[in-house]
Amino acid sequence: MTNLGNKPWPPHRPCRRSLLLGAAAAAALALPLPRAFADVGLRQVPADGQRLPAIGMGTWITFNVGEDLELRKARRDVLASFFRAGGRVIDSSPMYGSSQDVLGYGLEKVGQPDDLFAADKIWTGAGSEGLAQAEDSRRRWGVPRFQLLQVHNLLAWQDHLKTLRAMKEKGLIRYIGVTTSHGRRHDILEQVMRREALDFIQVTYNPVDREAEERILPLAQERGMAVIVNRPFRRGALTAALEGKPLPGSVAELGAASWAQAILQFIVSHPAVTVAIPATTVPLHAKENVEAGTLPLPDARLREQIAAAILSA
Amino acid sequence: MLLEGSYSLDDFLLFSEEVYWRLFEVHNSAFWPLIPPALIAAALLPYLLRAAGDHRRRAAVLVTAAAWFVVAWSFFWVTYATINWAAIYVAPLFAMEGLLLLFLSAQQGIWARKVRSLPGHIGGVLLLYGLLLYPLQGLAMGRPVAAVQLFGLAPDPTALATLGLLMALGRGWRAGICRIVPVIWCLLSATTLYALGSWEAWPLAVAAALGVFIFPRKGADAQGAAEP
Repeated sequence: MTNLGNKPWPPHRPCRRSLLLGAAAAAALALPLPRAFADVGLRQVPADGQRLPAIGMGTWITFNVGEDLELRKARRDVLASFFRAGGRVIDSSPMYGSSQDVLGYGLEKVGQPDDLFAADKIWTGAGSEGLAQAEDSRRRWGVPRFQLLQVHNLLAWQDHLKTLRAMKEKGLIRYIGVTTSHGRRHDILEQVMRREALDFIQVTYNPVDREAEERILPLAQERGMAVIVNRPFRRGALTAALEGKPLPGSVAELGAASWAQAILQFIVSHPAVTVAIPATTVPLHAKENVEAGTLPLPDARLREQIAAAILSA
Repeated sequence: MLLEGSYSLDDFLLFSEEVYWRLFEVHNSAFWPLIPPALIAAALLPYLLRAAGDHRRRAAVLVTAAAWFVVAWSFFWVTYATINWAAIYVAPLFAMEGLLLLFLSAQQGIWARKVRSLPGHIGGVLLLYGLLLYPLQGLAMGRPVAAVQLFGLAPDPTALATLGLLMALGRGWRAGICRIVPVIWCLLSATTLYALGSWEAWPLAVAAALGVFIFPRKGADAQGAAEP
């Protein structure tokens, strides 16, 4: 079993198993990023310039299927579709029930892209348990290491940031960050962002939940922090409410084929946003979500049109 | 609607409705050897309730205690914990109810002699709902027979039947204490089902209310033994 304490980030020497898996995955999934990403859809992480596809995938609820083999296979298919479309950023948490295990199952079945961006969180009130939990999470995913570890919902953030910073200094992880959701605790988040050197923050942001625009997103730009956006569809409530309603013509002209894509275009068109992480149980939606990151971005006027159309729906 | 608060009850759920209902199929499949004894127990309880004699009533409570132990271990500790980390905290609660029922079954002179009182009738209806109608309800809702929720294997029918049994048979504070965990579970499960958008939350909420408010009137059962 790989231990977080003796596998530094650079240089990474893949084990035989991961090489075999990688080769199989490359053959099966045509892993090099699709052509569309060569020019558009990639975002830079301010900390070191690494480029990531603008649309990733969240696993809250959708990947928590326990030991149900039929549903595990269905999530494997979602993962395969996501990778085939060029998606690379996946986010999970020890709080999400069996999501990490199911991700591990899926990654073992479809293979891990070499450039998989595995993001997870520390979620425990005890600062002393952070390192052990990170190792347990890594084992569940079955990945050599996480690229990003975040403090989940700012729980015991002082203690955990010390742990994460030490891990980063040892080369065990590449980035550190903190998360919030539902627009909660933005005051504390702002204080943490001003005080701590973070690579990433994670917040809720969509055409309806725009509180982050006021202070958090500008501050992230000012401080050089990458931003992951969770709950882009309000856990499906936004897209459900918009079902059957026509897209505004100007939005459709940008190439959006659905409200889901229009919402994702809105989100990633904010200059502070690095990656949005919609969750889905439908392989086709995983593909369409990733493709939304390659579409032309709406300008300020069109962004407001999208928001207004959604609010009036 | 979209401008309403963004934080709702279903945000506390870790799983989808599909995963929740399929969980019982996974559970039944994993613990299939327990299905025949669970069915026998469900068939036995109404007979033990109707038959006269304290020893039969004690037997009914003993069977129910065993059901709580089985659900604590198999459902909460093993199955439900795979999708809900909080389940391992509920398992001891169910085991504690099993112990309380064991304790109750050993008590003398606390059994109502007649079940034809209003609480007795309500208890009988709840018992039948838990043992028979609740499992059939899933089938009526289109869920497969493999996902049926059975007394002694799934928590909802076990809690419903236990509340019914205690209403029909148990008198006094000892039986009242044994209602606490089933009532708590009915409320928790009702909250979960409500968050999942299922109407099946409401019968559980009503059962919890009955468990709190419906007690035999003092002295109403003239033939019942006095509380020691």
